[in-house]
Amino acid sequence: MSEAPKPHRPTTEARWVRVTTTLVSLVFLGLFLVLPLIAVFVEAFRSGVGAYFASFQDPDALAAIRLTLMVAAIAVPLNLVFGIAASWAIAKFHFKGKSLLITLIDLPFSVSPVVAGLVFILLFGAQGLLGPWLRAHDVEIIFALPGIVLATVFVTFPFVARELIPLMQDQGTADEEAALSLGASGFKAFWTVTLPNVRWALLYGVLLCNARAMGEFGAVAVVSGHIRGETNTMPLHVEILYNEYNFVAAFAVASLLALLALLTLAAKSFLEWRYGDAIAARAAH
Amino acid sequence: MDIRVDHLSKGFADTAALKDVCLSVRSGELMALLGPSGSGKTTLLRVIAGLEMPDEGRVFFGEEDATHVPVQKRGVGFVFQHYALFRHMTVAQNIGYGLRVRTRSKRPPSSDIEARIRNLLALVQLEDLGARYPGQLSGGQRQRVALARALAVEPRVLLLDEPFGALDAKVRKDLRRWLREIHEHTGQTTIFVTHDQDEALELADRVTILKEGGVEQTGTPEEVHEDPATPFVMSFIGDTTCLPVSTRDGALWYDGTRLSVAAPAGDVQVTELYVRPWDLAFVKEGEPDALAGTVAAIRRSAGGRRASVRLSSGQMLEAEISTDSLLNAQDIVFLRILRGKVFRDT
Repeated sequence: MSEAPKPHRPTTEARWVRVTTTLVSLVFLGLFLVLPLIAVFVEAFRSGVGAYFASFQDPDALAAIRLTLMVAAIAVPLNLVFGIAASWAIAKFHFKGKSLLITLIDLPFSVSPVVAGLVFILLFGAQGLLGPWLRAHDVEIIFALPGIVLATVFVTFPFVARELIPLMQDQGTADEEAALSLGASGFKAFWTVTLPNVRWALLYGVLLCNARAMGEFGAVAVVSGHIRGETNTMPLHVEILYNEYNFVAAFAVASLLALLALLTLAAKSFLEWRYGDAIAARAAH
Repeated sequence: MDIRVDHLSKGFADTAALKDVCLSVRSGELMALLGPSGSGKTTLLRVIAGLEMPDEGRVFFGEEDATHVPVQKRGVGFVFQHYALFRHMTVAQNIGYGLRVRTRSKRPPSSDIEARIRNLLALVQLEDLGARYPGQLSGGQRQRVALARALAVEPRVLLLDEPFGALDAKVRKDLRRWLREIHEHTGQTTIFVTHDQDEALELADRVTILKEGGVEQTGTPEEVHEDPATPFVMSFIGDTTCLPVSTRDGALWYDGTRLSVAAPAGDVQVTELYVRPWDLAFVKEGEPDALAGTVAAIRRSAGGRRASVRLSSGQMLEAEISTDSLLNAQDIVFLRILRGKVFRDT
């Protein structure tokens, strides 16, 4: 009697294939992600804990942190509103130019942030299209907070919309119609049905949007003007410190940014765990 | 509440979904809108609900012209094909939604809402599941929650879009009977959409059959089954074989055989005879009106047995046979057409 073959799932590959692919991804991840992250913290603490925390006593560093938080606090809510409006329009209504709108939402992903920054210089800069008018009316955009916010909004606006559109399209309009037929006003239906249906995806989009808003370098570098203590965000401040060979301070601020990223990641994983349930419930629905 | 639809037309992009549809539903009636997919039945239901606006025509709720009344104010209970339950709310919250979203002046007190939810949960036999979420229920249970939610607002008319479409056969049958009981209990004017003729005939007081956006016939299940107005209704309601016939000497002829089915009176040309499987009799060889054929196959269905007979002309004919019949495939048989339906050529 011949030995029965081992039960074998058709999608399972040979052992060496599994080991190799896993190993390749792990090595890659370690080399390009984990190692640099560790390096940031090692460099930051190289001269001891005291020097590390002293870096944050510097008024310029504090100003950079404040500015970054302020930019994120303006840009993220703006993109939250834009993202909900755009995905609502795309998922629930039929109109001409819909696919064009979807493509345009992806534009910041495909355009280099530096180009985005330059566009704003061309528009609002001293030699720009609207420059003379702005100067005449004493409005500062470039090399000031409004310019930085504009550049950040541009770079981060796909995040919320991109999270919501597929989910809203998938959910369709039946829930809203049900709410309306039961007597709810359009606003009430949105508030009690549409928004709760997408809440996890929305939070997830906001987190990603926030992480990018705080970390954006290219577009902001072009429009900020690098005025210390005034228009330097955290990423720009890191660069300046680094160029001045002030490594401990540079890596200390960088570590703060990295920490923010790690926190976002943790929050995102938590949400995926929660949100995963929601997806399963929907599939069974 | 009487519902009347007057010369309704509606087009989508370049196709007409409804063409000059007239319909009247009596108060307390259970009306089925029956038709194949693309016949416009769901569009008609959605226009009545106010979820779609007609291009032309009017919708009356009793004497009131409701054509331009928004869905919120129309007082309809709509049950969606895929239930559209609010997944982040419990069953009880779903059922109470329509009462809780009312403005303060029209909202019943909280204790009344609770009592109404309890009553409705009892009505749909889900007393113990009020705290569950829709994701934790079976398809049949969800459908019942959707019905309770629609009934909670005491609608003037209950509208159901393919209410059992997504359920398996056994659950469908149970829910069908149960919906009939609920209807008898509440006396609620109800319109439901279905593509399943059995469902329509079993459940409805009257059936409206739609085809390509137009009404083919409205009548009781008995009327549409026994006296179909068009060939489409004939073949859509129940199985039918269509035989090419000719009229000669006041009789119908098929393939050189004079049939015993009466030809229509007067000088009318008929070219098609529609025959139900149970309107055929097996007879002995040599009968003058018998059609000879060979049994091609015998099939078992839930309701009985069927023989597919290939007539000598090559035409296939479905005939009902008794469950204890000894007929086998390849047997030679002779069939007499007892009854058939003819339509004037158009």
